[in-house]
Amino acid sequence: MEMHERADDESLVQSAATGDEVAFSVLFDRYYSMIFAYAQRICLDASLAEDVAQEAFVKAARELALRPFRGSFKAWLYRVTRNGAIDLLRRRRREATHLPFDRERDSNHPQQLALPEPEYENLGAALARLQPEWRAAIALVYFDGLNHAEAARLLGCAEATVSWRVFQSKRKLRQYLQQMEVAQ
Amino acid sequence: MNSEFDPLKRWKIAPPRDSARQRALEASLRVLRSTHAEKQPKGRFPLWLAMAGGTVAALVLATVVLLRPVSGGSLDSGTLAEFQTLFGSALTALIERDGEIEIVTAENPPIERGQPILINAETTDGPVKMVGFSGSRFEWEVNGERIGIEPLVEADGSILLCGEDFLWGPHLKMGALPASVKKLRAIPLVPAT
Repeated sequence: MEMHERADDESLVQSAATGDEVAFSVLFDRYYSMIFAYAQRICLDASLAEDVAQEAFVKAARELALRPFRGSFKAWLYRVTRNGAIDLLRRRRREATHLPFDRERDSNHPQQLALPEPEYENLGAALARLQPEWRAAIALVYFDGLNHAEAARLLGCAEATVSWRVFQSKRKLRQYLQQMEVAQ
Repeated sequence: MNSEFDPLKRWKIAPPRDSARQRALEASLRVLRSTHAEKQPKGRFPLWLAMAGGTVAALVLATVVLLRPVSGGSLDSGTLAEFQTLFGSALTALIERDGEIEIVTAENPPIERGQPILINAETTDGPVKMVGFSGSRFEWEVNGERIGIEPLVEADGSILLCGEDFLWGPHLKMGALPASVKKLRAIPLVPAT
């Protein structure tokens, strides 16, 4: 286990592909928190983020066992998470059952209940008005420390699109928050 | 609120719960175990060889289809049926411009696709004809700009085109089309019989 913990992603991926569960568990421990945080920033819901993160790792396990894996495992995980989160939000939008920051649903996640101070609630409501694609971009750039070119590669769009989404997100958030403050 | 104010600095999130983390790990390991066990050779034709053969066959067929003469307005239900035979549900969209057809496929295809939809766009780069599927987002490019579109068939049969910054339909126009797109029109594409 100790040897595995020091191993790089590539060799862990190769070992996991042969069915080595310890190697897969090390990859899981290395990325779970990061992937959960990323999913939560897109979904704005910790319970949904748990589902998305679990689905991403289940897909990773299947993918590694099925075929030779090439490229960056981390980048692949991010892509699958983003697609999974956005698909889930679209499905929920179509089912018309999703309300961002739904208190009833959030009560399933006690840690989240500790957060809603008035100013956080405003920010939450403002973030919910941004498109998930925009939240995905700002999560990568702001919280995972990627530059715009790296984020663009993960998101499958042009670097200029990432820059634009980050710029617009900040502008819109400021605008929404100002509107809310005026309304209060 | 001053101009230095950065709302993102206040964006907090909840930490993951141990129970959810454990559940995700167990589910992943179960899948790793079972998929690996299923993959073990049982004296059959090697899977990788079958996959390689299938890929080569699909590429040859795709090349044959792509190299055949393409006349104006060739993107129709017949063409769609040909590509669907080749790519199945992995086919996300077909994009035709200047007589060439670009094929968009999905990394993780759904079990089945929704209603096919024919989209005509007038762009600053000329006309573009696309076939997408209801509920499936795809991206195309105009003058270096990636544009995402998800066509959706509404309950009354009308079609909504959802972009990143616009929602476009016969009775609804919200947001602005990307600068490089002058017009968008969508109709259901009746599958070839």
